[in-house]
Amino acid sequence: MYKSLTIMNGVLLAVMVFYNGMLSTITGPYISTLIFHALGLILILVISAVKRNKLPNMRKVSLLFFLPGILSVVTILLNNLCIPKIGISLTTGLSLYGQLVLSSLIEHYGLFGMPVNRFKREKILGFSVISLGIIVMIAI
Amino acid sequence: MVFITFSFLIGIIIVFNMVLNVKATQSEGMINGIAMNYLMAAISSAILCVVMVKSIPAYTSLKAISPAYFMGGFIGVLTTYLFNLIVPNVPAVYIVVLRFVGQMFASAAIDYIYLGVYSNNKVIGGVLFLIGLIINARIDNKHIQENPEAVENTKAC
Repeated sequence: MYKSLTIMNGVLLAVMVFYNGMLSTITGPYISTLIFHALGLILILVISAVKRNKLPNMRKVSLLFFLPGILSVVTILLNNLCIPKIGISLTTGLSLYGQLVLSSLIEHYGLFGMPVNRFKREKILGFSVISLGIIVMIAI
Repeated sequence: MVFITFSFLIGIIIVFNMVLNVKATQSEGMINGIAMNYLMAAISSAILCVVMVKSIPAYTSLKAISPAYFMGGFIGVLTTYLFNLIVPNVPAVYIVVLRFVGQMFASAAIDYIYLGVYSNNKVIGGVLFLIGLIINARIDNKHIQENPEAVENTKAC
């Protein structure tokens, strides 16, 4: 059941990126980013109220934890810029490739206090096939 | 080329964000972590709108938008929520592969149905990407079976 939920999670991500991209072609990238995050904020505040969650005291929260919000805006903006030009598949493929490269580096060196999980040599074959896939996708 | 670099950069930022979100969730709880994320994002995008006010379309054009396109914001929260539900219940090696299958093939279907874009290269590239992920997932799986305490390390990343 959880495995099909994982596939569903990926499908939802693709639909989300598509809706944002379409919204952005009508409203421009700035308003679409604002709409996306304002609606998301409303939903999470409703969830917080329903679950009787106590919101944190913003003055005591580490400034670093506010950075993801800003980075989310940058991500959505870049997505909205790329999708109309190169399509969702290539944008998603390259973004997943970037995720794979950085997360492997973080795991290998144990950066940002994450547990060390050294890169295994056997994985070079897998990485080469993945890189070949990306090259094939780019060479339209 | 510039959009290819931007797309790669999106992946880099997403991972940075994941690491910071994990830390924020550990410190403030899941709902508060997501709420802070969206609060800050809403504020920074509002500032961006004010700065870029000249390139913002008239209100009348906003009224004509299909309501479905506004669902992105809700789906964003839903995927984060789902992801937090999935992580403790599905081995990390499957999460990467299964999410990729859902995301890449739904993207290809959307490209084809709505944008009329279809290219054999994208499908072949996507399948090669998937094969590479499966090869690496099998290697991870083998190491986890030989060394069970590595499971927690893999999940954390």
